[in-house]
Amino acid sequence: MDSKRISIPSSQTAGTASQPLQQNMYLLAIKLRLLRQNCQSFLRQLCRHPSALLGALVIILYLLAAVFAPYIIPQDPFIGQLGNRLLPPSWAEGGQPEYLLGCDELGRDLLSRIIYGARVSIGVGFLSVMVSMAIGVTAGLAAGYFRGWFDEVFSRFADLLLAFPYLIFALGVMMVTGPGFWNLIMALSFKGWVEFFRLTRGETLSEKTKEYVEAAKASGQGDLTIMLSEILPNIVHSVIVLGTLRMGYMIIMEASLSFLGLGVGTRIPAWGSMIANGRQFMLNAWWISTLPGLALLILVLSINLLGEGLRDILDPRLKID
Amino acid sequence: MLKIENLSTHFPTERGLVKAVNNVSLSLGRGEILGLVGESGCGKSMTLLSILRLVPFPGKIVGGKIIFNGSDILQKSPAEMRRIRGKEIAMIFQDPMTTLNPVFKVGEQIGEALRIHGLMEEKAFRLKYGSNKRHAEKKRVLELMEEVGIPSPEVRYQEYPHQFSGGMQQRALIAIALSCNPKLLLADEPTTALDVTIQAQILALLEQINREHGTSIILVTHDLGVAAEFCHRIAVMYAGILVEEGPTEAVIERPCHPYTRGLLRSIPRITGERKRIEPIPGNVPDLAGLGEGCPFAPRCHLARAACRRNDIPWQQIAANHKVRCLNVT
Amino acid sequence: MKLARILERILVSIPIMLGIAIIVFLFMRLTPGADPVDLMMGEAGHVSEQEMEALRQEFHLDKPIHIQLYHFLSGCLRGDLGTSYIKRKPVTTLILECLPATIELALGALFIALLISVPIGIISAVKQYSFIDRASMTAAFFGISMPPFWLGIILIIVFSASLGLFPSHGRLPFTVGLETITGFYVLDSILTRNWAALASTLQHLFLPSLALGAATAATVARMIRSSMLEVLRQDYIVLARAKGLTEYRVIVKHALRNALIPTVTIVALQLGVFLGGNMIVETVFGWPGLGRLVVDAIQRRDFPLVQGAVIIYAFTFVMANLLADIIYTFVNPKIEL
Repeated sequence: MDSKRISIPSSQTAGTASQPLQQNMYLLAIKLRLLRQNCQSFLRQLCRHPSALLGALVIILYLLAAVFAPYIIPQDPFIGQLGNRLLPPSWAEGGQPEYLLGCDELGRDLLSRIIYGARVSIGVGFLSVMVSMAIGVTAGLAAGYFRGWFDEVFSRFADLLLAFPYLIFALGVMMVTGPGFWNLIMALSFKGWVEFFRLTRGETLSEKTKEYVEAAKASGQGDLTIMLSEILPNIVHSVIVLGTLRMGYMIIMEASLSFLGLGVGTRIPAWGSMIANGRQFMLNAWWISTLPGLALLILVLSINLLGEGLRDILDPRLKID
Repeated sequence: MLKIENLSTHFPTERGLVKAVNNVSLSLGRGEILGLVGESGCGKSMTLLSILRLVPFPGKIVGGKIIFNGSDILQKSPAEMRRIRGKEIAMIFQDPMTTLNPVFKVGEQIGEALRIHGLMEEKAFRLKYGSNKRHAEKKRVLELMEEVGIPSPEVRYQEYPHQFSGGMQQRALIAIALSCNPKLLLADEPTTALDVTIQAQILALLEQINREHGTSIILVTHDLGVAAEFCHRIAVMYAGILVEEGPTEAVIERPCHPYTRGLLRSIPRITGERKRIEPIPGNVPDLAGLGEGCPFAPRCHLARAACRRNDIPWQQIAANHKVRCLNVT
Repeated sequence: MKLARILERILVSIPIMLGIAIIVFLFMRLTPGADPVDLMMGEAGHVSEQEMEALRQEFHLDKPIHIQLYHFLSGCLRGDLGTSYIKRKPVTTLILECLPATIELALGALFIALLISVPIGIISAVKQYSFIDRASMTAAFFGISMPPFWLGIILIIVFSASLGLFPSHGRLPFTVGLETITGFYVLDSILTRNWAALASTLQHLFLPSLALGAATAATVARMIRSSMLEVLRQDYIVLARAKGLTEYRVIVKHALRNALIPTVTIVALQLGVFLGGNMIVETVFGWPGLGRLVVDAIQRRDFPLVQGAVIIYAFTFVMANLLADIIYTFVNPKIEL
């Protein structure tokens, strides 16, 4: 546990020309070995955390399904046969074995559409977290390290964005930009970076006062080096945990926007819009709405399981809730 | 008045069974002050909590008797136990900052025990403080605050704990403990968290209480110097067992157990010849992995093979002075 | 002291609200391809150039952007959020019509969330690792991962379609007449002693409140549990027991008071979440509130209405934050300065 917060005092690894190359290589080797040990101990701890492991496995399964969707779908998800309109799942009365989960109102295979829907949910969820993280961490590091007007401007802007409820904000952006995959990611990241910013900024502020940063400064390292190779490694765990937990939220947001008709558009199957379409057939064809929702629930549940597990393992100080 | 016989309190942990209190026998007379001395983590506090039957989960009292005023505390029902806690036996805790409840006014916290034990309904109290319960309670609380040396109690009564200094908080805690005139006071390192000057004041206050009310006190401390100054008798505890017990003078003048000697040598002195402080080598052992024999053996320069084999029997040195060591003759 | 702190909080929220209004305005106005007059024309059909010019003047669209902003902000102060392009009615009126329904739903959700979460949080902490604890924490975990619209649909399928216990749509059926006074149907039906309407209103309110409140119930239950566990480890709990208090009093008086300090803040914030996150649930349950109004406005690109609604949402959110701050000031004795 303790080893993972170790930061090698890299005042010597900075590699000024006067230092012998050999020493640098030696320190690099130590660093790499520590990194490998950290990874190994992390994996070992993950294996001892059954719920996190379960979450990770389910996520991998979804990921594989999303990536290989075109090869594994049993039927065409885009073109349906009207003869199969509202066909019940295979186990229900009147179901057909080749349409495992039944068909929707246009006779399209539900299972194939759910598999395709995973692409949107995972893609949007992952990318919007990545974009938010990139913006938030960069701005947060800079704001916490340099303070001054930069910090002031970003902090005030963050406060302002926090005053908007997430969904209405994303809805507003989607209304302006119109539906689309990248528009969704933009709409979600527009406010999503704020949490990463606040976390990184706060952590940077507290790390900045610690001895190892002082030592690095005293040894004449540049600001950028200190931020990237001294401070960042020490806060990256919290960022990862926050990122995982936010991904579940982003996926729910994506589905909510799709549900309201402001998602990736009507052409591409997305869980949210599938649920919305199935709503009018709720009484006689329950599967159209409920099954995509179940797929969504299981994915978000797994992500949250992994996220909370990661928090237990990586961030036992429980800063993120 | 209090007689503890073979008390054992165990904690099942992942690493094994921790015998925090292991076959401890003690006795305490009326008006007596007993010092229970040892390093942190040796089971002193657990002994006190066992007396109140407030051992935290997953700890459990697994054996022994605690005879208080003629009956065994361990046999009492939860309701009977509640009538003893706070009223007959009160406790003072180590860290006053965290022991007062931050959301209630200090006066209210001091009066609480009075209220739940229905003291203000008792005849003696009614005569003294009047029959209006709320006024009587406040009068009594103010009197207590004055007794423990809290200045301007009328003002302090209305304040919250965070407005008190550490020493004042400890005084308030002593007032809580005293509120029902307990016969036995359990003081768990009452001065550890305080400044040195305040420490002396608090100890003087406890001594005064002992003198004026005849309250018996068990003082748990890691500081043999404090115990020497303040207690009538001293019991030295190590790794869950008692290793030496006797009148204060005897234990200080003629310490017999190597651990007691080690503790004495590690007290810095201001007066007298200048000697080097000699720390005891090694650390307090992990209670989970304790084997047979004397638990101090690994740190003891006198340890022999026999020390590690069996439980060490008590040896009587003088009338009241006994020790658990094979090297004493 | 406390009053000064509250005053300070109120003063701080003023520039935030101003910032919100400016951001929303600029965002809506600088959007390319969203000339409001063109949008209106789409609805109205054939219009002459002169009429368009007249419309531009009516909405101050012929002036430079900072003048427009000035008109907009001074309008906000007067409570005038502009006129809906499509409904041709003042935005403020439209929003005020919907607001009681939304607030009623939010309060219902808050009530249900607290009713579920407080006892569960306490029991789970007191009986840590017991069956009740594990079961309710698993349920709470599902609760925080559950998409609200899906929960709403499941509730409709189970309780409305299959069991027929609760209605699935709207606030009141047309067959039940109710004289509206405040717009809050629960209050109105009590005021007019219309018990049939009250029963029907509560029935209609139940499922949407549950769908909206479930996630909060889960969050708050987890929160209460963890802060109770934290509090139960404290020394003052041992002292309370050592005083001879019954376990009930130790928990309800000494522990709960402390555990609720961080929780009340979260609960007040949740009120803001309820008011701001209701688009989904209102859509699912056909609840005629602000959320449905704004979703409708977004789909029809009714910019002034969206703009006004977003501002109202943000304002209520800020207000909820302020409320949380004020409550925190009052429940925490440590804040005295």
